[in-house]
Amino acid sequence: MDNLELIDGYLTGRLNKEEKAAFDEALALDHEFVEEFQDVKEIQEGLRALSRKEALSFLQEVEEEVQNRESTLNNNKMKKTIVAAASVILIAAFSFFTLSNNTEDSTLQSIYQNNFESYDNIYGIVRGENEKDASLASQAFNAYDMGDYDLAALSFEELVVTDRTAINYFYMGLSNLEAKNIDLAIKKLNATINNFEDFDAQASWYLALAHLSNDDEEAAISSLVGLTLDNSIYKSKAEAVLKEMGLSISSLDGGVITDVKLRPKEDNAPNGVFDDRRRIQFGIAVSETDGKKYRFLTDQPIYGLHIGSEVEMIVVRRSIKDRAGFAFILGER
Amino acid sequence: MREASLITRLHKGDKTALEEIYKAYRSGFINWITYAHKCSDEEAIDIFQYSIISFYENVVDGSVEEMNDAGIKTYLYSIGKNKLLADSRKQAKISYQEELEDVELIEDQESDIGNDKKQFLATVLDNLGEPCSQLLKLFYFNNLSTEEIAEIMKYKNGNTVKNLKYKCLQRIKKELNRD
Repeated sequence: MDNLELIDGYLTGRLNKEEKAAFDEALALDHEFVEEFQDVKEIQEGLRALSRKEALSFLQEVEEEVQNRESTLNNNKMKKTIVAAASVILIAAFSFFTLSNNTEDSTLQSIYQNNFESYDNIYGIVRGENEKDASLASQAFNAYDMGDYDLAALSFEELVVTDRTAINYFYMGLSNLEAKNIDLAIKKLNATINNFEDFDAQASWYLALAHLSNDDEEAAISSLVGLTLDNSIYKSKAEAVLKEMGLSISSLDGGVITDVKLRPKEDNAPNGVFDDRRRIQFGIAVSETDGKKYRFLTDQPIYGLHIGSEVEMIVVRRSIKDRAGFAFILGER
Repeated sequence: MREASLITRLHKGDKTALEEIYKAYRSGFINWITYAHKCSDEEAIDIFQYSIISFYENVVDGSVEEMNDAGIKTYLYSIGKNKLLADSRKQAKISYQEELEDVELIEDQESDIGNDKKQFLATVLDNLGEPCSQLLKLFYFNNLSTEEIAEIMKYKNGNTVKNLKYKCLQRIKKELNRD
């Protein structure tokens, strides 16, 4: 081994015991070696600083790109959604023929079992507005961490009386789901989605799982299709579950709403008014492509939708021959 | 597995892996840290970028093994949390105004000479040009073997890389001794 190899080996942590001894000896006795070591070490430090600097400016470019995309997305959300939908359909169309109808033995329950994974409480320290809230919050999160889900659900319920936030509602939903209070879980997760901006994707995913556990295929489909349209970590999971259910997103379609209902009935205020109840919207849309009627049901109502609305929609069905499909409404045209 | 290859790719200095990780964890991280720790959006983005870079560094120095999606997330979040804690400690220190000024004075005097040299080296490295820049970064930052570098940079073998590397170091030394 020459000097440089010895130095490189030391700097990159690749020396064995003997080589390390040789390195130490050279460092103690050889003046030139020490000088070379200093030089290479400084160069290494410089290169590391440079790499960090370059990585950081690269991340800043990525950040800029993300923010630009977000703002155009907001400007033109509908268009974007349709583009996203179209790409989903492309993927779906591509894999369409490889899908067989193998759902006979895989019930919705087992799909739920296969896909459910506890959501980690990564929040650690919890802060509340006042002393009482803080201790209640830590009690709730602690219970959740310890797997004491019933206690957690109750603590969150108490907590939201004074601290009405997305995170508390989301964890209240999760706690209920873990404790197998499925109906309550659905209600709380629905409330998370419809009353807050945060935790949208997470809540939709666990809501879909809750519906599966409840054997409610139609509601699960809606939540899952919604997830495939947004870029979150749940996108591919949702696609996989739809596949597992033997479903294909077979077409981006236009259609007309022939029936639509909102529950709870009197609620037609989109945002602003907090409502703890589960909000759903359901009805029938007629496809302009094949003239067939498709049912839809969603936990995320589109406010302003009425009979006669022209909409963009996606039809989800089991196979091309199977005419009984479900519609997912993207929005009004 | 997607995560496994992400970490391998990151180790090898693949920028698209860095971009993928950035995009995959960005909104979750920012939502979490702005909510749980009451940061502004700009602070949150700074801390997120810091966490990603730290993660990258830990991957290349080998202190991060393969991990799954949840593992990466937990890792990033704990870096972020520690950074916040460290920052707030620093903030607390600033209130001891005199103490701070004293420390700064001493530091300035001591590091002036060293800083000039460092600054010059940084300029030389910045203008190193290819293939030296990529090769040396892969060796000294990404901690890759000459064989691995040969594969990435499409050289015949590790020996070629070793020779190139020697020449690149000579180039730097020459630049440094120019004046």
